[in-house]
Amino acid sequence: MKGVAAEKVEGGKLVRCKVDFHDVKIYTVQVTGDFFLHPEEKLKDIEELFVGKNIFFDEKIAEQEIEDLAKKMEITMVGINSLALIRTIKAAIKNAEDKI
Amino acid sequence: MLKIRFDQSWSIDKMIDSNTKWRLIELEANDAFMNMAIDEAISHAVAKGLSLPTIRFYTWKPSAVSIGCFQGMNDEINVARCRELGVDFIRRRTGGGAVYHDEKGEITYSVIAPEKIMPKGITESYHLICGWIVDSLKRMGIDSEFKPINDVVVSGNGKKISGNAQTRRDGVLLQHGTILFDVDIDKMFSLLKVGQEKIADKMIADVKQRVTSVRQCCEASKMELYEALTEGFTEGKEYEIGKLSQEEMIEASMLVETRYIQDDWNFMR
Repeated sequence: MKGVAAEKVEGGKLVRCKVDFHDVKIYTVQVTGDFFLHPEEKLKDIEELFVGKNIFFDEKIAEQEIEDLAKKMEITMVGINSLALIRTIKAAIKNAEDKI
Repeated sequence: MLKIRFDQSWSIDKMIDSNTKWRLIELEANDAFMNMAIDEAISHAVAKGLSLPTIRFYTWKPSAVSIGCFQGMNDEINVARCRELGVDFIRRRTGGGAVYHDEKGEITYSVIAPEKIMPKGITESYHLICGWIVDSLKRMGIDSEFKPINDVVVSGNGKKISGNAQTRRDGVLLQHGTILFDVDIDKMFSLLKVGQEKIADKMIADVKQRVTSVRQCCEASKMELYEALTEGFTEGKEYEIGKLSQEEMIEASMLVETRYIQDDWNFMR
């Protein structure tokens, strides 16, 4: 199933997540939007954090994983944050389920 | 040619490094692919220490839409309409939103410099460079201010007159941005999908409420805007007027072919 959701993050930037999952397993997550993230190529690493996760993943654990990755890879997010990302991914999953 | 400008009013908080010498590349028109390739080629040359920190002004010929590096081309742009009107479309290396670069309606700048001579903080560096835009507009009698994260708005009414985007790679900061000279909202909205599904008259009116241009603020010509920008960006700096090096031109031409005209890049997301 595929789901899409978007959120206007506080500060005015938009984050949109497209999530592809089957049963309860996430296959791909794509994050788009007008936010800033340095270094830009590290967004893929954040997306890949969610690949293979159960769609009912724990939000607190996921937040910590993003924070740990950001620290390790010296990622700076501007106009976007880990909580907004997680909320949008969860919303995309919910939107796909609601279509059933 | 060497020009040295000194202004007593230049405050310490705007100072990068008084010993830094800059290169100014004067206003030129290129297509979208070459414009983005030149910015990248200069970034590489600055990273290698082969080129001076650079301030560059340019326009887009033909008109183009650029999207932020994290945006989806088909999410943001009416590609068919762009093709119909002969408007280029391209993905930038910088984040931020989709921008319509009208051939006659705006001036774009880029500032490319080693990170070590710029403020370390993202917001602080936006503030610094956007301050040069504010200074430039002030010379035209337009009071404006930096609005975080990446905008310059006209004081009083809060309308956006400049949008900016930044990336940092290989120890080099690249910031580019547009200063709106004259806005054709209707054309812009025929090309951008932002809110396309809600493109009721109210939505258009709302955008008109939020965006302005130099022409809506004063009677200045585009050349007067360019002159003000040149003065605002170079004030207090030692600089020389320069051109692209042979290496930069060769690399830019290569980047056009290998990246910027490629669907793999432009439709990556």
